[in-house]
Amino acid sequence: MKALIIDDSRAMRMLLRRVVTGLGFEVLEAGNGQEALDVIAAGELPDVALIDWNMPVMNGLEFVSAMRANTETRAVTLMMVTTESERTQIVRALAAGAHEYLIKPFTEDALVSKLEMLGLLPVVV
Amino acid sequence: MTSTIPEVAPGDEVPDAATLTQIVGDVFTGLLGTEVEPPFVAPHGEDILPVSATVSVSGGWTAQVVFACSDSLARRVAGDLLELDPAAVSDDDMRDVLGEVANVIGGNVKSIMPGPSALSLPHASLVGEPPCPLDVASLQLELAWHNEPMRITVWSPPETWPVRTVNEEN
Repeated sequence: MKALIIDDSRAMRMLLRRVVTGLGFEVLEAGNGQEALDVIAAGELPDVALIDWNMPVMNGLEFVSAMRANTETRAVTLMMVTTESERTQIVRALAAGAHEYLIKPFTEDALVSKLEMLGLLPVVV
Repeated sequence: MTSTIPEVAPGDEVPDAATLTQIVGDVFTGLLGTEVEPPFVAPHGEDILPVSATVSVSGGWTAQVVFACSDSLARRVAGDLLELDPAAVSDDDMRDVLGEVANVIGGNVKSIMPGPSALSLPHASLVGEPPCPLDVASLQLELAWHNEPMRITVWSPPETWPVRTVNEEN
């Protein structure tokens, strides 16, 4: 499984990388939505993208819309991982095509639970 | 993690101190795995909070949320998050980490205020750099982490709103 972490904060990318690497994912990184599209265009199609909302150049919502508009990337699982936690914004992201929404700050357990719900990890009972 | 924090009623300019304390505590526990502490008592006249990061909120609620701290706290937080020795932390590392802390605190404060509102990208200022220009302070919260001081300030109109400085002792 391959995870693409998209966040303009290197610290947050590192925090997420530590968790998902520990879960067995191969990790790709991008500092904004456009960089993430460039990574994918270079041939690195992820199974899941973990997406911050507020980023320079291309924000997370624009990235989600771009992924959904492209038949080659439409199947990628998209999870927002963001401090944007107003109900209206969660609804906007889900309406644009995000599959899940995780609010910062998050626990490792919360991230694992979301990945399990998305079928990207075996559910531990 | 902050889902149990009640939303602030329309008309209130800032959250209360207990709510802001809970948000900051959640952020530090979530990012760094350790809790914040009661306020640090600064030596008289010493500028103990020379670095800061600011995010602006605009829309249904207009405000600026500022995270300020000592240089050593910023280095330690950056070192923990980036797995670096604090002495090896660069200015770019500090800007990145301070900005993310302000971003997460600001976003969580925004979520309980009347909206919808938009959150800006963070602006970080290090030692010797001018901080982001601000309006009037509405609420200041003094806390510490590993015995290093920090201050979280919410700045919001109206301009005549009085400053309330609070800590866990009052």
